[in-house]
Amino acid sequence: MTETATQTGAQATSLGTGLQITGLNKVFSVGRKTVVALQDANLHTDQGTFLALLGPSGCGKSTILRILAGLEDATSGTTRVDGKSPKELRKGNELGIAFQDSALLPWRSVQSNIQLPFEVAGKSVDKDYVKEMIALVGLTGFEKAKPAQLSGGMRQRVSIARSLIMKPSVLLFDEPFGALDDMTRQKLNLELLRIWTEKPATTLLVTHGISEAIFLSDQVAVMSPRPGRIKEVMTIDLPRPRTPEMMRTPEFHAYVDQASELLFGVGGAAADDH
Amino acid sequence: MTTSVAPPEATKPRTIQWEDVKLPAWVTGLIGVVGIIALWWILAATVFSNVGPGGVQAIPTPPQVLMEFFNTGWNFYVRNFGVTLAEAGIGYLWGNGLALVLSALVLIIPRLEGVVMQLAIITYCIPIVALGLLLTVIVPIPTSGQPSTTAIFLAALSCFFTTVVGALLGLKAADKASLDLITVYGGSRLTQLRKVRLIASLPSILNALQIAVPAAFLGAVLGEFFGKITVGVGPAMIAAQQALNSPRVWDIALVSGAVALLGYGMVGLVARAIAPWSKGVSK
Repeated sequence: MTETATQTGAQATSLGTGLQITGLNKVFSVGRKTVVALQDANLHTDQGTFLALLGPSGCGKSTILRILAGLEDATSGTTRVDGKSPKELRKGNELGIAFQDSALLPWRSVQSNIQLPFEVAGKSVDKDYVKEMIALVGLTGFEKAKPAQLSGGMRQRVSIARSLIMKPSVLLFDEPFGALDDMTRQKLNLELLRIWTEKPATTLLVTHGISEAIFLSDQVAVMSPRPGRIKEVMTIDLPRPRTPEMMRTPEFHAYVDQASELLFGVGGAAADDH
Repeated sequence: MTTSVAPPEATKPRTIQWEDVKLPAWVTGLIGVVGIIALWWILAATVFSNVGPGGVQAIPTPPQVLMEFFNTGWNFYVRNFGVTLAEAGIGYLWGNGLALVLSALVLIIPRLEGVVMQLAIITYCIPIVALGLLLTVIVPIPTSGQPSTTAIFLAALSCFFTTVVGALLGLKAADKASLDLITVYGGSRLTQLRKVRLIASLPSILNALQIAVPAAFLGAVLGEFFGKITVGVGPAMIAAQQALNSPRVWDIALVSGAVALLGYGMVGLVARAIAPWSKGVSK
């Protein structure tokens, strides 16, 4: 019923498709000590798939995302998304990103925050598309509001809209709803799914929510900490469009159990993690 | 259950819950001012009525201070404060201007931060009195009614440190995630500076510029004590003191405070107009 495929060592995948993370290592130097954040991470997905990186805090999942975004350099190994390096993706404005902190500029209105990527890229603002995105995330009527006037959930909606505004082919989400309460989180996950169906892209979601990862993704890569490695990649074979009712099916629970086993079971990734 | 008793709270008259009484800010402010004046009046009329040498009432009562203010007349204040304000203003521009230029240099060449910070700390640590004495020897004495160079220098010096600290702090105030965001969307360091850093630094720079107002005024008054000039708040205060006119000394001190506070408030209003988000919710 549940298909899993250990991807370690599987490298012979052709370029031009999805995420290609090969032999990725990252070592941080803190004073004289060195910390291995990532060890020989390998990940391969097809173009247009939704992949979740699931793991306890400090397992290096955000580091993978930051390397993909070109915010950090890998110590060794290569990353390609849709066959392009982070630099090429950035230059072509093909990246969309959202962080746990909405990272909205407090002096800009909702609308102005969403069109920021246009300004940074030096392109003329597509006003109609900005309007469409505001509607898509359900913030029509709040165009002129400043971030301070919005709730945490609304700010993250702005952040999601901003991540999509350049019609990116690659979406990177670093626990975008991690700081929100459970109910808002559930709601926004559903909306994210709806939006993603409308504007599909190769997506990487970093999260520590098990059911969230399974509910949203085509594939879930479970990571183990210190040093961070990818333990197993689960393929989530649930039909799309996904509905909240699916979260109550035995299939869904089986996936959750499997991920929990990987995370907390004997020799599990989070077993010795407090 | 045969009879039901009404809850006691409903029948008893409610006592006033003082914790629930909230006075508007201006009322509490007014109560504070009235209280201080009353305390001053009582103490000046009783315990401190004999303070000062040879029967001079060194601590006058509020009516005496007020009477002296009206007797002195408007002209006296305009003449003396005009000079001091000119000194404070020129010094304010120099001190803050230099501080901002140096901070901008740090922005371009980050390695300079240590040097600039050291320079600012040195200016802060040198006793202003020692500098004042030196300056009186170095700079020429201005003609009567002209701003004193010593006062301008000390005014500039008084606001230099706080503005350097404020500006350097401001340039680091940018949210890291916002800077990352600019990078991901293909922006350069210059884009980060234009779109995020400069604007994010505004609240703390404006805050420093606000604090600099009273500092510059104080520096100017202090400079006048050394400047050997005849017109200005400093000389006016010395003259009043030497004439044993304590109500006038009090008047000048109080007006000085009011002028500094007014300047502080005005820059605050400008700051709020320029960077309204800084006074709102944090993010």
